[in-house]
Amino acid sequence: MRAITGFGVNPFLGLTIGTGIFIWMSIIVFKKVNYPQYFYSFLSLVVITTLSNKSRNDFLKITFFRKKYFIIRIFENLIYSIPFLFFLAYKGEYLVALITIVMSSLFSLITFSGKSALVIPTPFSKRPYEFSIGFRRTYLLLIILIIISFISIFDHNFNLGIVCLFGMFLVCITYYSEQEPVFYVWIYAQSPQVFLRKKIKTALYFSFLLSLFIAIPLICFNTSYTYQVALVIVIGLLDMVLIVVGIYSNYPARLNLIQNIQIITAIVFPPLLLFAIPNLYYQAKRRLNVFLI
Amino acid sequence: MIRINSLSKSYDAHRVLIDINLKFVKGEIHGIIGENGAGKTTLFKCLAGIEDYKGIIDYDGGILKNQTGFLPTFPYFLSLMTGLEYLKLLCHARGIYDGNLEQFNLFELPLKQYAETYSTGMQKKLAITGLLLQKNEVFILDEPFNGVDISSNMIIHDILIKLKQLNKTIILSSHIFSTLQDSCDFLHYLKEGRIKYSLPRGSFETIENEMKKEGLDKTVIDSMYLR
Repeated sequence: MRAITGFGVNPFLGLTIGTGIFIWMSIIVFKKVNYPQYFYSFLSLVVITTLSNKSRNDFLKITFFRKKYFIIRIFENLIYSIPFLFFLAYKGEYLVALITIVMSSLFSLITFSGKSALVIPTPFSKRPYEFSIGFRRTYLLLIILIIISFISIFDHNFNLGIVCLFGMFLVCITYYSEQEPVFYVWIYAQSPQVFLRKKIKTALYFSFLLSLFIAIPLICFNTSYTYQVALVIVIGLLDMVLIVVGIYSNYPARLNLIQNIQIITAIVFPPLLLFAIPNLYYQAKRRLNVFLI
Repeated sequence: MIRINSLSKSYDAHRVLIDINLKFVKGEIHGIIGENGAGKTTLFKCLAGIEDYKGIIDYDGGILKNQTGFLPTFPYFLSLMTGLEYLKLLCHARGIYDGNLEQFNLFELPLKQYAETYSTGMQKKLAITGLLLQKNEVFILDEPFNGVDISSNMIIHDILIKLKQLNKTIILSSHIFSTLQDSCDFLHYLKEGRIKYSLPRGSFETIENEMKKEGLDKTVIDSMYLR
């Protein structure tokens, strides 16, 4: 409820919208995915793992006796899985629902530290931090996208290659999904304009470099598609600009509903980028004025 | 020199800082001391320009924020960022791009590991190293000795003396009175949002005695029925 309020939406309205989106997405999963019941059950377990954070569980372990700790963990896992269970029951998948209940309960025994000591080398280390951290989080996904794009070339499935290319930009967009704490902005001895310009420059440069891993083979194997590839790169780069200015448009608060809608609609309908980017840039500059001179 | 005139800060109806007037001269080490919740961190954030405030903070050396190194009580490190990348980020933020940063690793930290996996003390040392590399003129250090081992405490003390010799302005806080007593030229006692005393070295005993008097009433402990 607090998170919804922080999002700038009436909590009851937010809850209603959230329920609607959940039902809509569930219907899509059951329509589009093979063996949807298993995928859906897996999805519920993925959601449950957000409760398995180590520091959170350490706190619960310290605060409560062992038995009570496990009861709390089982209950909260089951509460999180309730929407999924209802939908599985609605679809008549009682056995999968039962398995989901058992798995949810067993997941109370698992904790994820989220901190790995294994340092993954990154080509973006010289210019921290969005791409260096993002690359470490998503390098497997990037490799998969590149492999699929090569498969698309050998299968003569150009559309799949284009999807991979755009997917590469979408992955880069996720590098800007979290706002940095105020300290990480405050340290800059720059004006908001210079700060934003440098952030945009880094985002464009690095995302362009990554996109080349897919774009060059696509063009090399079929030069007639150069125009389409170039168009996707231009849109992808504009999306990068959009997300950089967007993330600071309500800084240090999280993006409000209108800003989120602006960003999503501009990504879905690229002509809107030409309006959304200047608008969000102006808002970001104004918000950053508080911390940068 | 930094001059604070009639600085006040409120969070809605809650007044955290009330009519603060202070002067920090170059080449001096100033300590801010006070109980938990006295307003030390808020004062530091106002000085650094992280929080807005009422009143005037005047600095004769240019834009204060751009020459200030701020050490928070608990430095925050982004996930999956190595110590070396953190130092690079801090340097880049101030337009410093050259040099082999590893040679300035005075605390011998494992810079190629993720900073979030460091211990509390190591994280503080990394944050201090970053501030030193930024070549700041003003240092605002919130609890720099907190969570750091004895040998590193001694290094930090030596760093403070060196910065003083280099004519830097240093403002720090600590809940350990002895660390401030050894390092500071001036002590400012912050109580309930107001500066109660501002005293030069040699008169710190007044503040120490005042703080001892403010200690917890023993009858409260007795009333807790501890077993």
